[in-house]
Amino acid sequence: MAEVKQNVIVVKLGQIAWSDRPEDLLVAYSLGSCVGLTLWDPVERIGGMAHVFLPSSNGREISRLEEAPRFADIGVPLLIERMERKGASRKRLVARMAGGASLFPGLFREMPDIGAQNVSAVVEILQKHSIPIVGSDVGGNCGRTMRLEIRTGRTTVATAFGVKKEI
Amino acid sequence: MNYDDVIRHIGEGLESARKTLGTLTGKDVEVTSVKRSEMSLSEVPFLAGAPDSVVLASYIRFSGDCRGQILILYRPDNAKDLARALAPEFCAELKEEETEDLLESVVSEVSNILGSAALNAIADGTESTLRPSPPCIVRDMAGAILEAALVSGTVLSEKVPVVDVRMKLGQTDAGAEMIFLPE
Repeated sequence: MAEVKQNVIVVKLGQIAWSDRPEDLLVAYSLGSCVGLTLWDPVERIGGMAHVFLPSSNGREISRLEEAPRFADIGVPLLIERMERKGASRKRLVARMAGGASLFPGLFREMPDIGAQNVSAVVEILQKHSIPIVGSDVGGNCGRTMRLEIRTGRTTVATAFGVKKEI
Repeated sequence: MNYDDVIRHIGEGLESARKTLGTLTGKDVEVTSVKRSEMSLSEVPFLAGAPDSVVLASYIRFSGDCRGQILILYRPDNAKDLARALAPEFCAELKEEETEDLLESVVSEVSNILGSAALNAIADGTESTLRPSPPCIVRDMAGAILEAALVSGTVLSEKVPVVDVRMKLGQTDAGAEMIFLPE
């Protein structure tokens, strides 16, 4: 079988990316409290990924476009819009999410669990857009790396401890 | 806070920690670099190399006249070298699967020496009060730990001030990386 070459696109903290090129592999490395979200249109075979840093912009004005996706309330709708511009249909999109962990559990009880807040914010936005969540690996207290293959729509999650699964 | 002063005080603090660790391990401890930079938020998880590489980390928050976080990261092999230097007889008796607790204990002790020396020097040098939290030891992806620290500090600016200190023990590259994230 011929080797399939993949073009790795790293979706860094606070960024979004989308693609319809089969050779592309979208990767969000080492999600801790952040949430990795993938959206997939199985008909047009267009995929997107968001690396959400914080749940809400709290109405903050974001002057630079590259800073906007770090907040769930801006980044997720922006990803949906960019995928639609590429030809995806919102009605066909399915979502998968990973991350939202608490890496320092119990250390700062007075502090909010931002990982859980990130998960809730992303779920709420997806519900608002009627996009079903078909796979999820969130919470706990370990980091995760999330990958989306544009050729197949396959989404995998790997931890530092050798666990790798498809969601 | 003037970061040039902070870097100078960190250097002074680490000089005293270096001597303490050198006495404890019987090896030369060298601070190989102390760098201050302003990093893009999205680049911080890549600060210690590959973001999904596994590290043992000690995480300390400090508050008082200023707030911030200190992360001290050790590659697992480096933590083993530190443990062998600090407790050679004990290490020889342990099986591989029994070393986790020892490594965490060593990382905790060494981090206490490094972190408190740096914080004390900053506090003394700037005549400020800094209150450190108890250290939290985590074993996970380096990028995930750095990212979680950024989230804990709810860093909102695009550029993040970072002080990156690298140390090594003896002739090997065994050492640690200390990262300050002032808020």
